[in-house]
Amino acid sequence: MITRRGVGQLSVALWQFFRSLTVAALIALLLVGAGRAVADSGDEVSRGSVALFTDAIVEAEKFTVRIETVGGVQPLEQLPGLRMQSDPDDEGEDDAPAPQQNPNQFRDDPGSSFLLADGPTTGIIYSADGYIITSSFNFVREPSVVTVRLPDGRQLPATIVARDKVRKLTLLKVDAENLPTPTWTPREQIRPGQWAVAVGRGLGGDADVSVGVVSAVGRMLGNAIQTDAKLSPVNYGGPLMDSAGRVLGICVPMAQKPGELAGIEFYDAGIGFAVPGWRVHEIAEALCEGKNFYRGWLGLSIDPHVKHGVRIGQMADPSPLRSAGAQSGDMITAINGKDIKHYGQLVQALYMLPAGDVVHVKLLRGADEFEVDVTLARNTELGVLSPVEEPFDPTAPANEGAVPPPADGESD
Amino acid sequence: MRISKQAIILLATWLAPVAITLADTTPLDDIEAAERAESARIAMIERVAPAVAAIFDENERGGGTGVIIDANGYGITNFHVVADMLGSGRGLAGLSDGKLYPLEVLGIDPGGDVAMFRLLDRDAFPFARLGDSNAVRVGDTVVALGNPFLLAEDYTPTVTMGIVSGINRYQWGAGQGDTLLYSDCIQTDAAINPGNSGGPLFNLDGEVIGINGRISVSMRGRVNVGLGYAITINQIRMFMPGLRAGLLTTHGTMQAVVRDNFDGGVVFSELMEDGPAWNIGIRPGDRLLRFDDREIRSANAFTSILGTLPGDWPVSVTYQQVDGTAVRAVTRTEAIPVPQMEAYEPRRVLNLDAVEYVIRKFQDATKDNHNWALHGSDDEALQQRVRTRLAEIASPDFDRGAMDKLAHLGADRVVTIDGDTVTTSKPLAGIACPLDNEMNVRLLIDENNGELHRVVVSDRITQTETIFDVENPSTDAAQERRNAPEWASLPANINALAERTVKLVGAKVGRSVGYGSGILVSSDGLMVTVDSALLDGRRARAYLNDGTAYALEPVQSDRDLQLALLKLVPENDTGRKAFPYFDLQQTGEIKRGQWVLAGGNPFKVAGANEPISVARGVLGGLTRLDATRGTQDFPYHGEVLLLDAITSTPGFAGGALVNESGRLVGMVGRMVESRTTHTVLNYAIPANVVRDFVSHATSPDTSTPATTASGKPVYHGIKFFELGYQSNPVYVERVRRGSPAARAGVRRDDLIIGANGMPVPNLEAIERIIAACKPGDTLELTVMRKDVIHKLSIALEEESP
Repeated sequence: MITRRGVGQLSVALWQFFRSLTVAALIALLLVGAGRAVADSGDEVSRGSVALFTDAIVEAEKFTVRIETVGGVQPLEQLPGLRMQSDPDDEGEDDAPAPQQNPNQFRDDPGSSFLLADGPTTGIIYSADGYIITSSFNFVREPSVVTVRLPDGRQLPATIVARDKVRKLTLLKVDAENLPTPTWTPREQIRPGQWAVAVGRGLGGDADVSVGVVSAVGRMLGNAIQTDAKLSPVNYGGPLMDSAGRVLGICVPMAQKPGELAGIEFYDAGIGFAVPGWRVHEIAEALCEGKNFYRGWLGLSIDPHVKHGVRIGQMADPSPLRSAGAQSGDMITAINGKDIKHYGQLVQALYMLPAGDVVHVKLLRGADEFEVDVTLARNTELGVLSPVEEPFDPTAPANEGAVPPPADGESD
Repeated sequence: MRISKQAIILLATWLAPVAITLADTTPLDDIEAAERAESARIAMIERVAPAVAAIFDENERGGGTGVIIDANGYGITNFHVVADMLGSGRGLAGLSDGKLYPLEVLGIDPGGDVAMFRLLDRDAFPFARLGDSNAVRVGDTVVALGNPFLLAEDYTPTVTMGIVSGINRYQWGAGQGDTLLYSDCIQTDAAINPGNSGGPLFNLDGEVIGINGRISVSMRGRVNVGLGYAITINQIRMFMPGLRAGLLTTHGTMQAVVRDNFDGGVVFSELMEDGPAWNIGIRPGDRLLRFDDREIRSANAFTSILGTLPGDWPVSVTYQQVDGTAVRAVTRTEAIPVPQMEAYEPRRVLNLDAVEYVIRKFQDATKDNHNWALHGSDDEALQQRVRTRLAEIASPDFDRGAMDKLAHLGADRVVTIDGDTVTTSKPLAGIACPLDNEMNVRLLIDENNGELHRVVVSDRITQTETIFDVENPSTDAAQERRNAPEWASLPANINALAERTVKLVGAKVGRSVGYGSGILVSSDGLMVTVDSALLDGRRARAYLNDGTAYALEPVQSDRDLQLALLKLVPENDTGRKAFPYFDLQQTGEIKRGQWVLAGGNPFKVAGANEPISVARGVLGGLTRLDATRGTQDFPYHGEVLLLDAITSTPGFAGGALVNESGRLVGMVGRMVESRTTHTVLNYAIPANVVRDFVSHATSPDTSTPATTASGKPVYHGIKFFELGYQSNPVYVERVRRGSPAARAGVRRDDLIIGANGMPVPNLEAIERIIAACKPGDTLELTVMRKDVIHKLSIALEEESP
């Protein structure tokens, strides 16, 4: 009962039928023998739903792999003063620029101090020739050895091909051919309320299952669908399946803030995210070619004394915003057509955009409002902030909004 | 799919007549039914989602959720969502069309954590229908919509689904002055998180049955752990007229304290003289039988129902005097002043809007009929004057200017007692208007359909009131019935589950009393639970579903299994001959992806005589437990059932896990953290482990331990590279010549990445795996040698001294 679609499935259905005949015969015997039937099941919707889940699980197990890693370290306690190691963004980059004077001014918020385990994790076969797509969560420890255990039992060494730090995906490659690949749910067929079955191999053994519904379709600036299936390190990197045995997306931890571990605090809480197939396909070719995606930065700090609206405090030199002609003291009033009224909205407008993307920034200088196009940069491309000393002002408002304020008041 | 199904039915007719009678129950029909149910749910959500609002303050900060309940943009949310907006009375609401609408705060009910708002700048708003929360049953599937963690950048709500875990729940006051009381509320396992506050809880028909406002939180912080609480929509209905008029609404008190009597009754213990209870003749020692026309079985039930009622609200009370006489009476609750709330100024324009809303409905309802039949007074002249006035108001010429002279009194209702029959009207809107210079008239009108229920004429000079009941032709069409519940047999199973699961209250753990759950496994009162400190001492008690209490007598406990068997001992004669119990010889089958129900008492939500909480999930899979509890290794390393219902909450451990047919499949385990993922696991000990433990503990020969460990160390001949015990990969530093490892082909510098099917990320991992082996076992190593993976089998030997 793998899928009930297509003409080739008649035999499966027939088999089922005969199996149900056997059951029927047994029940009939029981009826005769005991004189009364034992009500041993729920109603048909409940039984039918379980059959749908079972189909989805069986289907998912065909292309869901177990990833094992060896080596790597626990990220250091995430305190600003301790963030002195080199930026992990730089690793594996041939064209990495020379270190900045103070490279730690613009850093991703590393997220919670969640203790990373070193158990197995989950991935999905993306192509028959051995590309495996998974969650970057599984590689935050920077392991030295990665192996992939295919559904057929083969365990193969894998190489990390590329990473998407924005959508938090990692592409692996193993040396194999003719691998089974999933069917992805078309974008227009993903709708809130439909079943969502998360499958993961993070506890070893058989794949583990959690069932929920699709909670929303356009989360994380359109980069994720949301589910109330219980997502956790058990199934990060694994598929979120629909009831027709297709993949809705890849489970990843996410929150409306940067950082590879951001979103892990929602584990098992009914708040989960998956990058949908259509989004994966958009970037798959680039990833296969080894192109990494990094978060894009404007390169500014905001003026903490301004309560209403967002005023540029300082800008890095060089920085995309400075190059676009912005000045310290300008108000940012909109990004990509979305009004910006406070710091949280600025973060929300930018946190899922990769470096290289062009954003339209509306600025207000005095009475003049004008728009500039800014090409977002990687943090490593940003210079230092102009060294203006802020007098200590205990009454200055703290930055509020969806994210905690980064150490340097930087916001994107 | 169609084709194949038809083919089957044809075949069935042709080949095997016996199968025809079973055609309804073929899996294909089930699957089709399931697919139809899924489509219906998607369609329902599509229909109601536009009515759900993401609420922000004027600066687009903060937030919560609300639900629009009529086309004019009126909606409800939690008081605590709008509490910070009371200054300006303004906010913003984002709808799923992606637009922000101005929001105006109307009336508030701080005691019930409810507020009403109105959205502006649109002609007709999408809205959700209100359901009947009295029809909600434990096990019903429910859907919550809201904006948890303010994730909705496009203002589309987040959908989460679950079941009703409990009804008539009581949650103590919280917030400023402990005002936010959740009385008689709905408990659900649908994920409710910060930001969901004020959002609707729907039944599968898309009707609002409650407003989500509170969650239980665990040590993980403010995220959902499977217990959310919704204020019932029927409670909110009682406040709605006042909320619509922008009033500060109050809750009511009876100025009486009741307590549970030893014999199961509820007795008045203290009364305030001149309070509502005193004034209808109740005296200390009298028994409370019914309140608000509901049977009262516990003091909690009375407190809980009372907590849902507005102040100055008519209620019926049935009580029994000490001499045995039963008395029925109607009185009004006394309004409780709202503590620490600044004077709330009703706004004239809101009052006028509320009056107009009700009067327009009244005009519509009486378009063709102005012949009101008034009962209650024979004063023909007065009747005539009232009729004339009503006809004026019902006339379409009665315009907004004239309405300006009327006042909205808020919510009220009519309760009448006729012999044994108590009749309670729906919540009504009270409108006050002058009849002439000396008299005022109060109209009680159903604001939903415009029906007039009662007219009260008060004479300002003589201070007398004349009450007219208005006869209405019953327009109450048969109420729309709900669709069949998604899981028809659930209530019966839940009842069986609740009867066989006990609530444990035990020894003091730290400063608080420990609590937990247990399952009954024999008719003579044997009970299994997890082994924990709460069982220590003599104070531990087990409470059955009906509230009867038992002392506990230890039978046996097993540290390795973390299980304990105890016997329930009656403290006084309960009259019970046999206990309901789970038959451990008839446990349910275990299949991945199948529905399961977990029953227990997480967070001690259920009082002694209240039903346990129930959560639904699917069986995630089977795994060997490798976990820690605090910093200690968790001794149980056997197989466990993984669940996607959240059971890792205080008090849930020891609870029952049953399958769809109500058969026991496991017992909820203690809270542990997985070594593999560093997350808190939701799991159950399989029923067969519980069964073996019980049969061993009750067998005559209990002296032999249940498990024996070999204890003999094994020899493999590998020396590992030992730098970095927990963090570094495991390299082979040396292999002893002629050793089992050498014979298996292990070489120096091999990187060991797996053993016996388990990953080996560090030395600690492989040492644990080897420690579990005994001489003669085979150790299957997976090693990496120059980017090639090799599998090697080592025949382990006994270590020679």
